[in-house]
Amino acid sequence: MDIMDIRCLDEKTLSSYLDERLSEAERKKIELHIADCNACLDMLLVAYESRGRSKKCPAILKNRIKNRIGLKQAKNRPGSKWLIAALFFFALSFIVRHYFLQFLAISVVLGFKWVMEGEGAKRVIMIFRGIQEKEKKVERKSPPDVSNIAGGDRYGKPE
Amino acid sequence: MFDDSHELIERCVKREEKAWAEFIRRFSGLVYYSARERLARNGFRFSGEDIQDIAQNVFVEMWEKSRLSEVRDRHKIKAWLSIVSQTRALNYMRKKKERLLAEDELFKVENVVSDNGEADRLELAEELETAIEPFEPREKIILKLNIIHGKTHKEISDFMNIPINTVSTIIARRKEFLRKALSNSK
Repeated sequence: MDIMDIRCLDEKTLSSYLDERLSEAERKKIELHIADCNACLDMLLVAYESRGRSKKCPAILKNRIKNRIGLKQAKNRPGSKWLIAALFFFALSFIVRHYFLQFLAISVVLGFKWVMEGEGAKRVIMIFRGIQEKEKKVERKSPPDVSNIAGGDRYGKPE
Repeated sequence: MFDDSHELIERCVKREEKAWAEFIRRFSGLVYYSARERLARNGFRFSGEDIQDIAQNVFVEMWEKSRLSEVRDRHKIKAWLSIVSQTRALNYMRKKKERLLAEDELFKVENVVSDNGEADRLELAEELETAIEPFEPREKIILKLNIIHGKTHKEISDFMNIPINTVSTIIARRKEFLRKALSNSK
């Protein structure tokens, strides 16, 4: 297989042969090159063949690409199972009146779990953690400069 | 020839995340296939990890350098995307080879390039190149696609965007010419 060299057509020109509606003159210009350049002809051939055989791709690769360019992954909602369970026990507490309080308690616990797993709750927790860390950093820093209050000069030394 | 992707590409150019997720879903297979096929056809020995790295690099380049905004005809980008993937695959293997040479691990370089058993095809290609030298460019392409790459008349007509009758006529006429030329030379 030939290696592409500097005289080869650029990617846009080469792909325009398959991708775009070209005039007869433009097509002939490209054909003049690919008739003698096996590397470019083979590139076009793979591009032509790729349209029908492009379904298979490892799922892990798609996620890898999304992670790399910082896209959010499509998430299923694991939290919804807690909500369903909470509603189920809530309904059960009214059906089985004998254990009303027990079922209600379970439903409250599951409801709490659902709230804490929600996107909103996670964000609130992250904000609180951020504030806590900021406060800790401020505490670790040296005490604030009081030279101005004490009447010091701009180097902090008292006059 | 290729699917309509105009709206999707427009939205990707505006950097909409949902559009990008769809773009990756729709085209990662094409990028993966093109990179793998290019390396296989060029006789490189490669791993699945290499292809994944190449495919990832292609999408990262599209995203970071806003390459999609350069596409003129946004209805059809498959051929362009495939060719970009192929050239990136070749560049990746070239760099890998250079890196291995720099690390003085010559024995590993043998693993990068290998003969994938295409010697016969290359020999046939060389002979055909000489025989079809005086033909018109379009005729050369048609004969190469038919004889070396084994493409049908329909596929060639689709690939070159010319009527199938034209393809059939050229193949019949030029094969006859080659047959006569060969019998005269014997």
